[in-house]
Amino acid sequence: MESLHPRVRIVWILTGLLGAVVVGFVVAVVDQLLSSGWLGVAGQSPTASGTVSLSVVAFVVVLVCAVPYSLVHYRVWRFEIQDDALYLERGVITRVKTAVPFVRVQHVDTQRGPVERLLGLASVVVYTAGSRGADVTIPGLRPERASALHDRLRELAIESEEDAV
Amino acid sequence: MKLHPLSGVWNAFGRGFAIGSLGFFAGMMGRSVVDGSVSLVFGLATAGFVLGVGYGLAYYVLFEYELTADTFDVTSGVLNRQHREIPFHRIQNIDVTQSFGKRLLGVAVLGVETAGGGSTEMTLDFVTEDEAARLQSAVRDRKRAGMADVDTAATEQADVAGDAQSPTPLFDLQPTELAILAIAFLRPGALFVVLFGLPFAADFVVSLLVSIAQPLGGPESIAALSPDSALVLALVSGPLVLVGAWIVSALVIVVEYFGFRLGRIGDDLVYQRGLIQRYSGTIPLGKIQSLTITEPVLARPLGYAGLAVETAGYAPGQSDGQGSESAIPLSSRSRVLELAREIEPFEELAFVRLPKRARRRYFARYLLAIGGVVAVGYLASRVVQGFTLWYFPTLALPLAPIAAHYKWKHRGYHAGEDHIVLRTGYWRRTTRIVPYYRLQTVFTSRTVFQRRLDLATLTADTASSTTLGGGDPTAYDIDADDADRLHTLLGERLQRALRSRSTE
Repeated sequence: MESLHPRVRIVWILTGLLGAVVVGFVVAVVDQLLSSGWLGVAGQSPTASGTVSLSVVAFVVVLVCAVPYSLVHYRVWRFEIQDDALYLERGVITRVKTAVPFVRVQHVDTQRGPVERLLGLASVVVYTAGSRGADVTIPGLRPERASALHDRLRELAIESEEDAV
Repeated sequence: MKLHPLSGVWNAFGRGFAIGSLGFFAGMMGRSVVDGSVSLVFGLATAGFVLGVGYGLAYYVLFEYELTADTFDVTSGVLNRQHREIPFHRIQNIDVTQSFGKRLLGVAVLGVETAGGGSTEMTLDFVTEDEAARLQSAVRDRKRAGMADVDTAATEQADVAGDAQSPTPLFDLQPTELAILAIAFLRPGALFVVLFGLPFAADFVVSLLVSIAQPLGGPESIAALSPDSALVLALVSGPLVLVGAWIVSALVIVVEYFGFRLGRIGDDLVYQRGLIQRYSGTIPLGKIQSLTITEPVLARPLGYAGLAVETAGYAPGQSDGQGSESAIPLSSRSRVLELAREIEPFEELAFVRLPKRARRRYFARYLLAIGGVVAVGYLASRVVQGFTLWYFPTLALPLAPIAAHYKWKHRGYHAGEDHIVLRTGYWRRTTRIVPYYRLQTVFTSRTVFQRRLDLATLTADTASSTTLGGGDPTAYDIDADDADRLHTLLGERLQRALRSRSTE
């Protein structure tokens, strides 16, 4: 079984940081609206320091959850190219094992988001004709590993010529 | 080939009115903004109408379809010209729909579905009934001819094709079956019709409900609503609304399934149905992804069931069809099983029950749900004046173990020789039969709670779109070790099935 590149933890933590900023901002806006008597809720006059401390608390709470989550997520993530299927294990709260038979692969993408590019990583996305989970993503791969995987999956999909439906 | 000449007139006027009314409203809005005269409104409306008619006529004139040796071609579009060719062997379904008006004119709309894409790939709106039937059977024949080229059994196929034109009848829906179907299958959509679909009748319905609920402690009028009396009103009107929805749903089902008839032509199932709007379709047996046997709670004791087949044709969210076609809307269980076995020969079903701890899980889940509602109610009673009935939901407590038991009892799976069979649902029990060679991705998932109880949920994805039964073929809350074994088994059986099919 193969693990992801350790740097993927940084990608996830940065994503978590972004989420924490958004949550902190939303909390600040909602607090301002509520305390200024919006929605008819009886409010005190809005205090700037109260709002700031509240949104900082929200920001810290989300971040404190996101960091261990990312670390555990990395520890759990495993994938493997088996004889006739791509096998993945992942998930922190809900653990999911997935087997994608090569015969069912419709096409394969390699994707690189801005954060991933910054950290020199790439993702491979495998598409099937299925109704649920029609796409399976393997994140956090070194670009050369990603293109090797991409090529390997494409070969395996072509080898098995059966109609993918 | 061209569409029916009347379709030019019909669609020209349809578009004319649509764009004309757009112009009318634009004119009305423009007039209120810039203080223009009435002529602006009529000018825009007329211009829109002329534009629409012109576009509709141009669409008709520029629309061409053709059956070539291997493909079904359509050239269409006024501003954006499009030429589309669909190879016959890629066609999943061909449907013919006739609204009431079109039935009077003797014309029909033909739709062609393939496995890809988000919507119907090809629509001929509209051709004569005869032309639609001709196209339907021509596509069927050419598809078969195409397969016969690669098939060594070409002569045998040709024999079948010889007398293929009239379908061998398989099933006709009897009046009693239609009646049970209408009563046993409650359409959830009907609830929305009753609640929101009748704005003009809303006042009448509300006053009726208030007058019924009043002697039981309900409010004297909507204006005199207090929190407690509102709860009583809700409790009284809930079942009544349900009964209303039931009646609506029964009527809809009768209209939809009246005169249902299923037959077989060669390798296709063909069906017709509908009282006002006639609908006919083709289901290629070779493209079937899975079968679903549905047994609603009211039909079970009577020994009735329904059979639906899923193909890969329709996109999720498409309004009609839902990717699932009724092969038998309702009939006796033995008849349903007989036809299901004719389509997919599966053996006698012996279901593996869920472990007992799964039942405990459902019980705990229901207790938590009731507890949550009570807690929210209690908090609300602190804030809202005059609301004292917060403990009402505890009345449901004795039901929790019963509900948990029945939920548990109706779940199970059967891993057969060539099929995996999954069963779930008390109110509407669905049994999904998935051939191994149709499997796509297999998922096993375990939430935190499931891990604690050593349970897992296994989903066997197929290429069929979302279905009547609701969601993908899934075995809920089975033993974790069993789930792992099943996961491996499904992979192996898929490979075995693929091997045996390629050597055939």
